[in-house]
Amino acid sequence: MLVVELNDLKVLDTLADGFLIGVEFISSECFKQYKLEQTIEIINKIHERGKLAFIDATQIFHDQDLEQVKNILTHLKDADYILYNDLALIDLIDLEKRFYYSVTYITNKQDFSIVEKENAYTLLSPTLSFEELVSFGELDKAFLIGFGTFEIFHSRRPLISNYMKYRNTEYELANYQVIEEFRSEKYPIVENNGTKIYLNDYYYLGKELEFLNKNIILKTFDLKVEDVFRIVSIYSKALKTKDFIVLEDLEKLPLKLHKGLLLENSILKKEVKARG
Amino acid sequence: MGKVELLAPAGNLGKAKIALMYGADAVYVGGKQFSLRARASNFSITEIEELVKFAHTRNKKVYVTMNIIPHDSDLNNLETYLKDLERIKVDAIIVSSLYIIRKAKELVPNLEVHLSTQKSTTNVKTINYYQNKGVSRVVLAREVTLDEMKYISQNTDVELEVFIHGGMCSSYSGHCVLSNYMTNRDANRGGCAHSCRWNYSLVKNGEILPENYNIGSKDMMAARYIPQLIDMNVASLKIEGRMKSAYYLACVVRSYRMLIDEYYEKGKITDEFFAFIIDEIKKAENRETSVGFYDGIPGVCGQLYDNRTEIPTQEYVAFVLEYNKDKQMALVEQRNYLTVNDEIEVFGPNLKSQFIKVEQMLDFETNQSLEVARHPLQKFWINMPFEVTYGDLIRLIKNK
Repeated sequence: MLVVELNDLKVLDTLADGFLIGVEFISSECFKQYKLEQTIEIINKIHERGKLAFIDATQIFHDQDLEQVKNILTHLKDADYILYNDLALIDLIDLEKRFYYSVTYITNKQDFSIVEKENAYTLLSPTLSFEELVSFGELDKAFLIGFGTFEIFHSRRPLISNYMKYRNTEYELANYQVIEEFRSEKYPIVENNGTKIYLNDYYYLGKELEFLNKNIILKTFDLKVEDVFRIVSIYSKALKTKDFIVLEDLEKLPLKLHKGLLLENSILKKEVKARG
Repeated sequence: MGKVELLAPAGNLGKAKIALMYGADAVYVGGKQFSLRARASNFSITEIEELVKFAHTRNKKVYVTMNIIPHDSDLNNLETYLKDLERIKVDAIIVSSLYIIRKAKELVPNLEVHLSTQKSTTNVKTINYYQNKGVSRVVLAREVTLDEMKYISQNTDVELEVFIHGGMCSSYSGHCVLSNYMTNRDANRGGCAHSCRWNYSLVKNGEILPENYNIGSKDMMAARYIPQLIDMNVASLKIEGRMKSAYYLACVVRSYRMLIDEYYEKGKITDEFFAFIIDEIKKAENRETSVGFYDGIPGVCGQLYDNRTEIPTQEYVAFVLEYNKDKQMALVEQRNYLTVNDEIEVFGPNLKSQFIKVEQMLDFETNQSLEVARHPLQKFWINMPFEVTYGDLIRLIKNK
């Protein structure tokens, strides 16, 4: 299954099987966040196309937030799946709609086997290596991030506006990125109900996908619509024809792509191996 | 509800014993497997066993952290490890993985399971979820405010553990993989490179802003909130810092011990007493502090800007090994440069601060008089007009 983050309504015309919708107040992973009323309309449009609507509810919530979350989810009852990160939402979502989405927590088969019983779908951590992902096998109830950027830091603090105050400058809505002083990668940073930092550039699963789970999410973040169309088209073709070599065509796009930690072993792991 | 627990970290056996001697009711330590803080000198089973015996004879507890977010390869030997911990009578394990929770409940049902702050638990419903899995205590996320803690404590019967002192992640714990992507060190498996404390530039609409940008948090010091935490029946007050020195632990643990005991004894804490405690803590604390989220979401004052500001601490100069009543001298082990005529403060688990001038130092090996103790771990005798015991500490007040 191919699910695409909706960063523009035109993306509804891509070849995806489902669309991930960011919603104000409850979303964290999606850059573009729609108002509740808009979201209800978008769900209808998705269903008119015979496709699936996935809602991003991946914010971390405190007790006082949960009544509002409940209210929002009640209005979104027609959505097909709700992606959530905070386990408080389990009670608010029917089992057949639950999609446990945590970038960091599902890192082994044993934890997956517990969580999958409580959810329709579960995201496998994109921090896993290729060998680790292969070892999961192809699971109907698992999803992978196939393309794009995702959250790698989630703070409750307003880290941009605090900084602007410290520098005696006005905080303005803008596209912000951070660069570490000894590195060149630019990481998007967004202040919205806390502060989130996203992975630099565009992570992608290329020909490796042949050996991996075929339920994938394409994260579009700030991509131009024409690029989203191209990317969805390439993944769609690969999944239909099972010719995964075509995914390397993504490299031809004018985008900086990388494979994250997919082909890396962590230093810690190497140290452990060296110690025997 | 019993007296609140003061829970201290320990990176090795010596530090664990110091923390318990200085007033901690329990310590948490990492084993060789399953624990974060890979660089702390983590404990072998034999060392944990020795620590448990040391703690239990003093009616205190030992918790073992198993709070990595494990990959498959990390789970080897889990069953043996859990059974070992139960055999040596560890009081609880601190866990993040649902699988480790389940395995512990199946294999070692008498071992208490505490949920690590790595799961960033922020609300009652999530606590209920983990309670149903068999967790008896939840370490709340450091992002929970005092008002939120109050609500949670009134709406759950699970024991709550809260951080009161030490370093803070800038991100919700367990949700940050900056270190993984920037350095290939897995933050959730003990390899965190503390990327949130580095210097960054902020780019706004493609333009790099001229000054350094930082996202790091000041350390937490919640001394002023201890009475409220006790009143809301929080079970455990936790100090962070398995990498910190024995001196730091002794000072911080002792200060919070005094504060907690004062509140139980007198039912209130005066401003003077708070000031005294905060001053005591600052003697060991070398990083800027704030109150974290206790007062609400931190503003500018909670952040660490223009990084690498370290405040000099009062110097820890010697560790007391034994006392000779007849000679009125203490045998000590050197930790920092000390000279005759320096003014020092001596304090310990059962010793209120005493101030003296160094009048005489004798080398332990040669019995020769010393003007200066300059060698690390050098043993020497020092004049001491009052009785001291093993574990008492000496810090420098004033150089001659």
